[in-house]
Amino acid sequence: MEYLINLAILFGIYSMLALSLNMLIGMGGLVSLAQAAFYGIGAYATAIGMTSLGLGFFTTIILGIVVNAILAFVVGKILARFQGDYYAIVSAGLSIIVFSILQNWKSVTHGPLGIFGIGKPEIGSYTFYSNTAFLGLVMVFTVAFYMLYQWINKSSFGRVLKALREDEHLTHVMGYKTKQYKSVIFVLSAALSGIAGAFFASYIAFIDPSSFQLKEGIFLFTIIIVGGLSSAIGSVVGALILISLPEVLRFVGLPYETAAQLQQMIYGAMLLLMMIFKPQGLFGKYRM
Amino acid sequence: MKKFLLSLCMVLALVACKDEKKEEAQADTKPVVKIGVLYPLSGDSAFFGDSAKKAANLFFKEFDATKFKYKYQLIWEDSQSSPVRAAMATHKLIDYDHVDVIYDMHSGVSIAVSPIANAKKTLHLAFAQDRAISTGFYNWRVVTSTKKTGEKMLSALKKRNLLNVIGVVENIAGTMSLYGGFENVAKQDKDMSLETMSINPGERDFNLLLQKIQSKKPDAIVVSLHAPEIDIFMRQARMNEINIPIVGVQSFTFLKDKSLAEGSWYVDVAMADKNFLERYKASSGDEITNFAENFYTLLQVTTTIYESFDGKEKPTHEEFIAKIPVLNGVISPIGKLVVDKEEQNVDSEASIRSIKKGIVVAIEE
Repeated sequence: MEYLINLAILFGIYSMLALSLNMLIGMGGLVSLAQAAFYGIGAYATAIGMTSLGLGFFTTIILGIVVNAILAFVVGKILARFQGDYYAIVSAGLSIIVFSILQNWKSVTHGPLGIFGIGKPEIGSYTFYSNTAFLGLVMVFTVAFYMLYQWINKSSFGRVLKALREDEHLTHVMGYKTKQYKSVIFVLSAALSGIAGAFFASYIAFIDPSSFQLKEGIFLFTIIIVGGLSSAIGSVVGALILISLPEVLRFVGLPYETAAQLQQMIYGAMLLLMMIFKPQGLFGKYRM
Repeated sequence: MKKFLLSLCMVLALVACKDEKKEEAQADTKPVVKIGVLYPLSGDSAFFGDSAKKAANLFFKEFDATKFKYKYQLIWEDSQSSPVRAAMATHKLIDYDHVDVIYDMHSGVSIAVSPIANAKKTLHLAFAQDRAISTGFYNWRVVTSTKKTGEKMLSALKKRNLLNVIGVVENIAGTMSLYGGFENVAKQDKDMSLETMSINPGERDFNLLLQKIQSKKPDAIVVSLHAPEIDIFMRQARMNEINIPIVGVQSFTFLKDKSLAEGSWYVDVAMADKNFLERYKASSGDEITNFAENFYTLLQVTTTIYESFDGKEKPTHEEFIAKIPVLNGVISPIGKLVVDKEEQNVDSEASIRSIKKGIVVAIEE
């Protein structure tokens, strides 16, 4: 049971990440691979804040949001000039830069040795020390993310984003400041990723740059592609599948000499089949 | 879609509702000691897991399992050398498999496992050097300390009068920890001049770096690099006709093409004795052990302590830890073991190795 609770915590964290990324890609059509960078900044804000500055968990969440928002605002201004593939490439560049900073700014991030001993969230005198309590907190935030997604999706802001996704030029001609819309959703998505990062750091209690590489951004992208673009439920289901599938495969009675390799092959094959039969994702409302 | 999600939920539910008692009943009369092995079994570092499996086969072939008071069961999980995957696998090993001991390797993985093992009061034996791993009562390391490898490197350099050296270290937890041990002792030595340059994993062009090093005219270059960077570095050093001695902190162990460091020497954790190397080769057919001797030692450490109990009931983790000092002086494939209670490490002597005709050989100094 305890194992499932841990799995559920990870599922919750990745659901938050997928929802924040789907706002950007699914709603806005802005293919960003920088999500892992903002996720990492949020995680490091919590790790450094809690272990070096003595801040509380929730204060470090705010710190992560602020740092991410500022960075995303600056980078968003640059990214707003790009569209389609170029947007993806430039965002991938940001991911690589952030990873490089995390890896090399050793006096602050401890480089590849990482930061350990990250504490659990506290409210007053209550510490979310048990995994069940931690899961409860993660789920509260996951539901809040879900509701925020749905609210934005139905709002006029969300409708403009979807129009922008379908035809940016036309949306601009209709009088909407498309660059501003792109910047706002980029900042919002980055800030939300930082929250997920904070939970990840507190849950794992140890972080190093390897968890926030470009490949993590591609993994998050895969989650929303499998679940379906522009769909809140798709983000959550995508996270459920991609997080739990490799864990489920641990229980398949494969011969131990080749189990690890076979598990990865099965995992890859299942994703491939899913894409063949459901190219728009399981709950996708929009196809790239 | 509904069917897929339903089946996924059913599998997860089955996992949750597994009947533990039934599993216990299936075991024979001896108490079963479950050992969770969290090693890289896929990806770039999978060869370590492969060697560990071969070492386990050799261990159980050599020790008559019927004479053991306990039955030892290994449960293998792939760490993928990733802290996140390792953390999930640790939860699985502890909560689902109910393992008594967890083995793992690589500092990044071991540091992620440590807080979980400690919180769940499960014994954790790591073949990794970072001191942070040994935080908490239940986390121990079984590895040559970085202090010993550092001291060995320093004395080897001084013996050869190589006093002005440039270090090239890769930004990876393991290589940095090992190099850190050398850097610490070198900085305290008045005769030694050490300048350190770092590279990032994934870097492929070392030509400029090599030229820069050459312009500084050091007595030697000390590399602490992982695969595949070490192969690329050595190849480019050869292409640039670098005639300064290149020596290594562990690095040459990771060389795929050992001929690139033919005749060079390096310092590493304790090396397997000749006898073990012959037995290992005869059993697995492999010349190169990839730390198989260390996995063998992990098993020897575990069984030595367990077998010192009466075999009627499994000792608690606390009882096991209290008995760790019995390992002092135990002869293993990596030599005599020394228990360092303060560091929570079962230490061994560092080795100086050389590569001759593509084979790693020990140098007696």
